[in-house]
Amino acid sequence: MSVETRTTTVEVRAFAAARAALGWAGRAEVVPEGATVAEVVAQLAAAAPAAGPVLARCAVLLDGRRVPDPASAVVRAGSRLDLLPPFAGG
Amino acid sequence: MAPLRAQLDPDERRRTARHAILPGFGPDAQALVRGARVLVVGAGGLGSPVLYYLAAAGVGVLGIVDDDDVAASNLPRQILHGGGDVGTPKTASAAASLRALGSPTRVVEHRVRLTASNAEALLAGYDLVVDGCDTFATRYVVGDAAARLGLPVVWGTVLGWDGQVSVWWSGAPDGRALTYRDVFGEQPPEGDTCSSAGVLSPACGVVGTTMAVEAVKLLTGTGEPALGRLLVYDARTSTWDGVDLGAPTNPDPRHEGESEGWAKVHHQPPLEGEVATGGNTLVIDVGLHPVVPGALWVRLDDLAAGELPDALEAHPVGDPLVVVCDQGLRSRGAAGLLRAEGWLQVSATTYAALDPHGAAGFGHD
Repeated sequence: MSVETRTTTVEVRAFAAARAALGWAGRAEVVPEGATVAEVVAQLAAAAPAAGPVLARCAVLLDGRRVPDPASAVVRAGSRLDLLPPFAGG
Repeated sequence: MAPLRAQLDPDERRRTARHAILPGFGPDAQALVRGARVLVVGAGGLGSPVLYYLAAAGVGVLGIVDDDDVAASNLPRQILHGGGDVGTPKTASAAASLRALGSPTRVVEHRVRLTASNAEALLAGYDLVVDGCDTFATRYVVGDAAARLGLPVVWGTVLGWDGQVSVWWSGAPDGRALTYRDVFGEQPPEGDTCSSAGVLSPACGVVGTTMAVEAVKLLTGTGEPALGRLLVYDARTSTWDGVDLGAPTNPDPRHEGESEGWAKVHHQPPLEGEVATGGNTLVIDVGLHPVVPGALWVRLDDLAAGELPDALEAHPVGDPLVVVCDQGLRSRGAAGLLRAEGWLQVSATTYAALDPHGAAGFGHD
């Protein structure tokens, strides 16, 4: 008998090159309860390996705030993650 | 954010009549446009629409910072420049295109690369900065200098089919005092550019024109500027998304310092009594009526028109000027004008700060 992992659902929006690499603009992502921002991003990269490099460059906002340390910021049910690749063209 | 209201002459009133009748805008907002001093960083794909619209709208002074020459590959999107301009400085070509519009805007060419060592001095002469440059290095220099000075920055960037616009302002009220670093963190290595990854030319127009809209709203206090919001444009679908930005939870100590910088500009600490009477300092009262005894009273409109009284003309550019008014807004605008006229030590303050205890009888009602 396996132990069921409790999960939670977060809203992820991808912009610009992250949107192009992931192939979607936004979706509800089911993640293990207590997952960190870094773990959510790793889960997205595992599902779309080609997106790995652009995800690594992204500014990640959790509920509109920059996450200084993605490995320690824990997401909650209904959290919103925005993936913003930086670019500087003008 | 308070440019001075500049008087519109009859020609300019006729030229800007559509703004005068616009609900939510009107002649008062147009007078603020006319009195405003805006520095645009980059006369390229974004700077072109920004500069065209701000000049056409009648902004008082437009500074252009760019140290590049026009290249043929710029022409499809950098619409200030034409085929005949290839190989010439972008500032000169931009200024010529803007002057051809026939608006009363004074165009100032800054043919320099903005660096940490010259940014603050350049930005300090302006009310608002519009950042449409093309490197992270310059964007961080602009963001940091503006945060220290308390100047708002209309920020926009474009690459490929994508664009982003926001307004950074370390002095903004209501938890919207965000800086570029608050959202994007430390400066990343320079990545893809329009020359390496390409860019859809008219997307620059969409993003740059949106930046011009944000600039006009900030200068006039109209509409709802993108403070605390990141606007994200996708030209593939012609869609704009808005990302609501929260105030930083753990403010970086540096940013706290920057906020103090803003406070210094907007809430001058009380000045010492001897400043008002010191031998080399000239106190200029730009209030609606003369208030400070012994100060030189100057009409703001005259100052904006470059009509300086003899006593001011005779004041050495190296000696201090203290500009004072009731709320500190007119004095701040006047201080910017005086710096642009060449005075090196200009500070702005209020009646209350100049005379905190009411000893001279004018600091408090």
